[in-house]
Formats: sequence, C-alpha cells, structure tokens
Amino acid sequence: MITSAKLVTGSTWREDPVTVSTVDLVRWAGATEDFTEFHFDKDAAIARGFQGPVVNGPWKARAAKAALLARFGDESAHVRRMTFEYRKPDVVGLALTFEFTIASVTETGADGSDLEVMVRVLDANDAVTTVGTIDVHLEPQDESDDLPLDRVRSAVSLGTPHGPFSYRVEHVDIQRYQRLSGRPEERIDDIMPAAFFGALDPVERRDLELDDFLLDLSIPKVGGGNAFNQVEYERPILAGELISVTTTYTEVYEKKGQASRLLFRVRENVFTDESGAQVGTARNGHVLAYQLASAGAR
Amino acid sequence: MGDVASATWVLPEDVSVLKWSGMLGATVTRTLSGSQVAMLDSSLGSRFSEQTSSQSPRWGMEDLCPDPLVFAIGTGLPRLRLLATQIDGGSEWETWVPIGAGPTTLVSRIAAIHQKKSSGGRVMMRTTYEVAGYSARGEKLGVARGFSLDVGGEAGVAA
Repeated sequence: MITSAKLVTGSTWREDPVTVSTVDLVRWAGATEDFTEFHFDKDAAIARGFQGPVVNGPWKARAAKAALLARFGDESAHVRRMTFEYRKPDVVGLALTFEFTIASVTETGADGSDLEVMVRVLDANDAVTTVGTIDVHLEPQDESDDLPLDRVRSAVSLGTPHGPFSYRVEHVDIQRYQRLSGRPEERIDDIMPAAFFGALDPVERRDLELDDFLLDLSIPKVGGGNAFNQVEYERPILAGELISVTTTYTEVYEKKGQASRLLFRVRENVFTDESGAQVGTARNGHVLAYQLASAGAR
Repeated sequence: MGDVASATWVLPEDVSVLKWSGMLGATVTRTLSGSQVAMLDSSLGSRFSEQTSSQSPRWGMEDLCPDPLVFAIGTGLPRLRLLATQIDGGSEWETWVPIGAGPTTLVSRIAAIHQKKSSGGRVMMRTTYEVAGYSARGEKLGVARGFSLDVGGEAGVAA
C-alpha cells in the first residue's frame, strides 16, 4: 500500500502478473453489452488472425484503475482522467503485468494532492501492449477525529461573495409553486410566495458546490439537512423577472450534541432584480451530523 | 505499432472524410446503479483487493460509459472504415463532476478525424468518437472518447 510519504515523482512499481480468462471477458461483455465474438470466442478470434480471444482494451484500463486505487488503500482517491492507447492485442490465458510510474505529484494545500500516473501493460514477453495515463486526486489523509472546520472555511471562502447566479422566474413557475404548496386554485396569482426565495438558492440548486469533500470524510456521517432558513424581502418576486443571487458563507462552526457532532455552514443570499435593486435577502443554515469520536466505530 | 506515438495527428489529406465529423448519434439516458458498476468490476475477478467503486456515490465517466467506442456505435454512429485494417486504438475518460445515481443523458458524436504517417510511410487514420454526459439539470459531467484506428494504405470510406 502506498502512503503519502511514498508519493514521489519517479516512483515505479509492478503489480503481480494477472491472467485474464474467457469468463472475465464474458462478464465484461455482459456489463458493457459488447458481444463482439472475438473477445470471448476462440474460433472467432482465430478467424480474425488472433491467437485466442482478445482482451478488451477498456478492460485493461479498468483493471489498471482498480490496481492503482487498491494501492492507495484507505486514502480517498478520485480518478479525474484516464487515457489509454491500445498498441498490441493481448489474448486470454497469457500473463499481463501492470506497471505504474508516478509522473508528477502536485500538492494542492488543504485539498490534498494531484497525481499523474503513467501506466504500461506488458505481455508475457515483457512487450508493452498498452500505455496510459491516470490522473488521480487524493484527498488529504485525516487521522484525527476532529471535524475539518478550517478546511471547510477555506473551501467556502468565508466572507467572500460567490456569483451572481441568475434565474428567470416564469409565470408557470409561480403557478406550479403555488399549487405544490397547497394554495387553492381560486387564489393562484402572479406573485411568488416569500418562501420561494429559498428555492432560488445556488447551493440547493447545486450551482454552487464548494464543500463536496465532506461526503468523503472518514468520520461516519449520521444525518444532515437544512437547519434554518430566514427570508427578508423588500417586495415579492414577479412573473418574468430575472433574479440574480449572490451567496456568501458567513459562519462555519461545530456544536456537540449528545448523540452526534453537528457541523453548521451558514450562508447569506442577496437577491437583486435586473435594475440592480435589492429584492430580498435570505440566511440559510445547513447541518451535517457526524458520529461522536467516542463512538469509536471508525 | 510502436511508431504510433512518434508522429503528429493532422487533418486528413482526403478532406472528403471530414463530412462525417460532427455527426451525432441517438441520445441515450442512463441511470447508473451500484449493481451495474459491480457487474463491471466482477469482470476483474478478485485480483484487486479494494474495488470500492460499486459502493461509491462518486462514479466516473468510465463507469457510465466503460467502452466509449462500442457505446457510440450503439447509438447509430457509423464505424468508419477508412483504411485496410481497423483496430480499437484507445479510450479516454474525463470526469468533471462526480456521477451520482440520477439519470444521465449521453450524447455521442464523431468529434474528429485525423491522419498521420509512420516513419515507415504507413498511413494511419484516427476517428474520435466522443460521448458527453449531462445531468438532468443540463450540467456537463464529463466526456468519454473512443479512438478507432485505421491502418494501411487503401483509401475509401465505407460506413
């Protein structure tokens, strides 16, 4: 298993040779719906001039990715890009060796590090049949049970506005929202209810995603959701308006409960119309609940 | 084929083949599941001890579109036969936004056709089939590319 200390440019290693079977390629065919016969039928392969069923190129790419991620063990690794060139066919029943070389390591501060890993697949004669590159992002290894408050504050750029994000509010949106919120048909109008300001939230709409790494923390998450929403508006939103929203995170803090630790992120949205006039503001709190360190179930 | 990487890909001499570039395949919507990813991983056997991808909420384009060339051809795009011999030349996957369990729309196209000559004077043509993945909200999640490689000297196009 590779530790962070061993992530050095130029490091190279070979995995133990693997032998691909026809069964493996039949499974691959089923999963990818690629039933090209020379990948699993010996006669079809020989008719095409191969010595036997040919290992699918993308199978080798997936195997390389799996072998690499296995090397990183518990470290949270995400593959961002893979590119492979299939130079020579490999046939089933013959040993393949996956060789990896770390071409570069770029530390990205609190976010972890980016690795470029060169891959070579060699056949039983040590001839290179496939070459590739895998770009991997490694989340920082966090050995502590502390919630990463400083990392969250950095990720959301506490106090710095994000946006603006623009949303056109149509007549049909207003009608649909009023119906979904239970307003009687005879009272449906062209004025959006105040609660709709919460729907024009770039974070809830996933137009602004700054702290996704929280999904990958090794501390078990036991719950989460909206903690509170406060809206103050100058006037209602009208049909046809283009509303611009600027989001600023204002607070990141932790509260300890009896059953869990709560991570709060508070953000403020400022809504303006096309003339630049402020229409309203909203303050939203979101909470994630993590298992108590004393639970010891990591 | 060791000389494949030694030359630069350029636009083909026979520009008539470029009429295929930009051609779109049928749009496909897929909802990726853990069991589908597990099926892909099952083809790897138990060789690699930590295959956690089937449990991850952060799938990549390589999970959604494991064989871009096969997928693109399956959407109705022609597998261009430009020269005498044809092989699967390679694959590429880029994931910009982690792919979750929701529906993803896949749009295939013939993105490029390039040519180069080896040091031995052998002509090669590479057709790039690109599959772009979009979330239900229209956000581009990533792309997968399959490279069809034609090798030889005979001209002519047959879909």
